[in-house]
Amino acid sequence: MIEVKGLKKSFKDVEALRGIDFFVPRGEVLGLLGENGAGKTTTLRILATMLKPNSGTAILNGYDILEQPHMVRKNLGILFGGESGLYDRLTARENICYYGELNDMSKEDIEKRIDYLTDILEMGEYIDRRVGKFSKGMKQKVSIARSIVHNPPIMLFDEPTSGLDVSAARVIHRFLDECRQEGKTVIFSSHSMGEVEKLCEKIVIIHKGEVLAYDSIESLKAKHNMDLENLFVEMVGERGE
Amino acid sequence: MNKRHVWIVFKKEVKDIFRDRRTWIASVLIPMLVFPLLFFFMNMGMKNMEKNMEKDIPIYIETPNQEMDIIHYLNNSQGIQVVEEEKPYESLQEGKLKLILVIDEDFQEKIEKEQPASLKIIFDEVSNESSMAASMIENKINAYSEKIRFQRLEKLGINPEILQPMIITREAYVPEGEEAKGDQGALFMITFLLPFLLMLYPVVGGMPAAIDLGSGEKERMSLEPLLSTGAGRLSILTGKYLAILLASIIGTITSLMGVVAASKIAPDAIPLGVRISPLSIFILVATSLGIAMILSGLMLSISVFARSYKEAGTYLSPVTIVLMVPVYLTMFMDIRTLSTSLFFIPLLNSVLVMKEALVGIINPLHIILTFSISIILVVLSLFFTRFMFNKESVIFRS
Ligand SMILES: Nc1ncnc2c1ncn2[C@@H]1O[C@H](COP(=O)(O)OP(=O)(O)O)[C@@H](O)[C@H]1O
Ligand SMILES: [Mg+2]
Repeated sequence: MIEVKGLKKSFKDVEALRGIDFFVPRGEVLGLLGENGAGKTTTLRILATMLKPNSGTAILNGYDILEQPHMVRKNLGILFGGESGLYDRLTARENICYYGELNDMSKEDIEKRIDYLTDILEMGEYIDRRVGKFSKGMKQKVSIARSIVHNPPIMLFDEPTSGLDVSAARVIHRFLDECRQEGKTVIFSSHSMGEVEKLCEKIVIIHKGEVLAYDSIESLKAKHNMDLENLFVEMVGERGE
Repeated sequence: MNKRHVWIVFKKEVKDIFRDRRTWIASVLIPMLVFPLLFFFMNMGMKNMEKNMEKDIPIYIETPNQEMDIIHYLNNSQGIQVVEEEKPYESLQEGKLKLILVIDEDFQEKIEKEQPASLKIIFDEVSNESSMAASMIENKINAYSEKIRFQRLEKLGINPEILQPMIITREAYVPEGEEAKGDQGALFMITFLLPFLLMLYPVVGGMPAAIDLGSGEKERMSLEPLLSTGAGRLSILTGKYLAILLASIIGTITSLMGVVAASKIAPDAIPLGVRISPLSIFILVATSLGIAMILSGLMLSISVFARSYKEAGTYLSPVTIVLMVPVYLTMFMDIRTLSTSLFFIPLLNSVLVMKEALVGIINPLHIILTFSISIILVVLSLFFTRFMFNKESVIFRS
């Protein structure tokens, strides 16, 4: 469960978030939709306790991001788009294991979990090789495994498919489905309507740090009587300039 | 701070940096080999030069009058070979001749008249062998001059001892119960070399690690995922700090091993025959540890601040030059009359305390001041790094 309450955040003279509110019940996948610079990454960074909000707060599975940041972090996994952020001189297993240990898992649990993840992500061939020479796709799988090694009840995805080809994006989509089936609470940020429409039941559309819409995709479409893409363009256009 | 997390981060970082060839080159290979290689080649050069000087030194005598006593004397002295040359000055420049001795025509005449007779040694100022030959020939001529002086005194019926009213000997004071410090040259060498190494090699050894562990995390985009794990920032930072400190210490230790090896290769060039008491050794170790701790913190905070490897390298390279300032400054300070205020200056005080310890001066005030200031500096550098690491604008600098 994720409850976001009145988040505001400024960087020097840029107001990145101007009061963001939404709620994701346990086991739901929420799409966080917005153009570049809308404030998606900032929102997710605040939820992951990497940034402190100027005001407002958020509660993840009962833990307040301001009061118990350590517990919040232990309860969430986060997957970033772009560079994988792995350590080239460590093996895939060591990379994943490092995050397991930092999330206070026991050695046996980590081993078991890595075996399981190696299996479902089909990394058996290279799990004990150093990451440095991996292909983009291999690295991506390792970073997925790393983000979820501690089996967190909450997953945050920050535009994880940006810059990926179709088949690599599909790996991410399958992984998201996996999370859904396991009953995890998920926020999936994207600037692509099509992707969000396919993957999420409910969406938040943010623009320039404000929530423009917060509803299920079905009811948004019904209410405005148009498809998501047109709706988004229209909403953003109204707000614009 | 969570000790388990510190340990996990430390273990991982050590594994990571020691799988990096750069760490081995910077913390082990370079410190270990620089001095032995340097002194190996210096020694080779010196041996070569000595060998050349052992051969008879070819000199040319320029004079209109070959029939003079001094020429016979030089012809008969050992180590010199008077040679004939068509173009002596060109030969001198080519190194075939080591020097040219110009003797005036009336030289012999003046000696006989008991007037000062002058001669000129012309040498090649860019050739070491030529200037060494010049000193040698000067000594020989001085000896000859002495001989003539004695003859003249005898002729006057004067005992030569009358002209030597004093005999001076020089002896270093060694307090009772203490041993002599050893060879003077060795003492100078070691009081310069050791502070130099203990300042430079924590940085040489720790820099690649510091760059990788700070700005490296940003560059490879691994900082955000790392900060979103269950580990707190202070634990992460402490683990990283300790890993860099380890690399610094390894760099320092291997450089010392290199010096010991060098002194085996070239015992004349690096005489290590200086006696150091256990207490002094303890002070040296503690001081150098303090230096490594300060510098590791400094390097990590700079590296955390930098956006990329390149930027970190740009900021960190001048650090080595800045560090040499106190080492060179202290070369011209007298160890017995150091002003206490000097011991308030960070790093300079460490160098001075090391120098004192090396010559057996144990001054509690100096030591306490230096250690207090070092500890304050270590704490400050850690706080500063932590401040940087907590600052959103530093972590997410773009
Ligand atoms: N570290 C930062 N310093 C200054 N401005 C920032 C920083 N991070 C984000 N911003 C600004 O905040 C706004 C929201 O950015 P972001 O959350 O990254 O958007 P999104 O992820 O939706 O593309 C943008 O205008 C961006 O320029
Ligand atoms: Mg973003």
